[in-house]
Amino acid sequence: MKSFHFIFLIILTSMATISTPFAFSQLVLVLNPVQSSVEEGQEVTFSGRISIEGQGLSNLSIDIKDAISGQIIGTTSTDTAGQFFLTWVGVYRGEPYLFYAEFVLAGAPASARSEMYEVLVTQKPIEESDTSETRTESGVEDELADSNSELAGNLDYINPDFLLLIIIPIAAAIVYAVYRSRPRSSAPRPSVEIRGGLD
Amino acid sequence: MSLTELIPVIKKELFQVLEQTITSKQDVAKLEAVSTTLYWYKEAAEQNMDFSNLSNKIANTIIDNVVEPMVKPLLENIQLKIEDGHAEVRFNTSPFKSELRPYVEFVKKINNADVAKIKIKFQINSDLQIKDIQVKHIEENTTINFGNLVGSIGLSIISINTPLGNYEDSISLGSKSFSFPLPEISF
Repeated sequence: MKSFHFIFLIILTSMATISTPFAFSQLVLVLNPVQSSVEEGQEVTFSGRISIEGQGLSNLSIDIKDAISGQIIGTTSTDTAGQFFLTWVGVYRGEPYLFYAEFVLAGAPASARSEMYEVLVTQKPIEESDTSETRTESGVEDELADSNSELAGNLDYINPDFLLLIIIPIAAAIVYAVYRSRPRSSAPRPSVEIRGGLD
Repeated sequence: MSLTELIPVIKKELFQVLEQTITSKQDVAKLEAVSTTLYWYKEAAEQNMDFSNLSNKIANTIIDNVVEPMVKPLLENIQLKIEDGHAEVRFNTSPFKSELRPYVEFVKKINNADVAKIKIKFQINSDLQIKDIQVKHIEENTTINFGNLVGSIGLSIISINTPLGNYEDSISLGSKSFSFPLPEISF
């Protein structure tokens, strides 16, 4: 019987706890400030607390809503301290969001709303697809230095006769090109003379 | 005062007649000799040379060679004698016919040496007459108006010699009639 009384007391206390908020003037829903700008794909964490006269209310459903579109972007529940958390991934839409938290008691004519915060979701910059171009300048220099040293190492093993076989034709081609491009004396230009007479 | 002073005037007029005769005959432009000659001028960097300019040169060369033998006998029929303010004019205005065979030779030269020649031989038949000669003597002034030179000229090509061959066929370029005034002389 004692236990029944205890349970009844708890129910009564709970009712008192819940019924008290029906005086909505005392229901406080706080949404903590969020960052004003995020990049699309980044997470935004909403947090806050709902309380009555400082007493946190647990197991209440809190909607996070966008005042501009009127859409609910997420719903969460309060913990035993009356706190709530919700993580949302930013979606770019070209205009800012205006977020607020709202508690609506089913069947109740009134609700509680938090203050609003404007969040601008910016477009993600286009990333370079070729990662090789993102190499640092020093990295490129290192690669060049490596390839040069590798080439130098290979040249040590090239037969000098083989080099001559390459150099001589190239030199001959250069000499021939220079010879062909030399200023030549212009060929004598023909002229036409007109003569006349009587047979 | 010499009647040979009339020759430049006659020459200028006959040149016009002759040039029109040549250029009006488009077959001449198609002659291989003409196209070869034009090519030579192109080689000589005379880019502006075309058939019209070539006709001009041909007419000029022909006239230079035929005008005197063509006109002088006609002028010789006019005898002008002036002595101490007295003038005596005797003339015979009967038509004078002539047949001349001028040639025009284009010579391609390199370093002043002839390397190729194209020779076009023409025949020019003329029938000229001076008409309406007037002598006026007013007080001490005497004026001779030589009237008009009237006649016709017929032109034809009778042979062409080129480095590639000789052509002996006659090509008629036509004939033209004309009449133009001659100047008057006062003394």
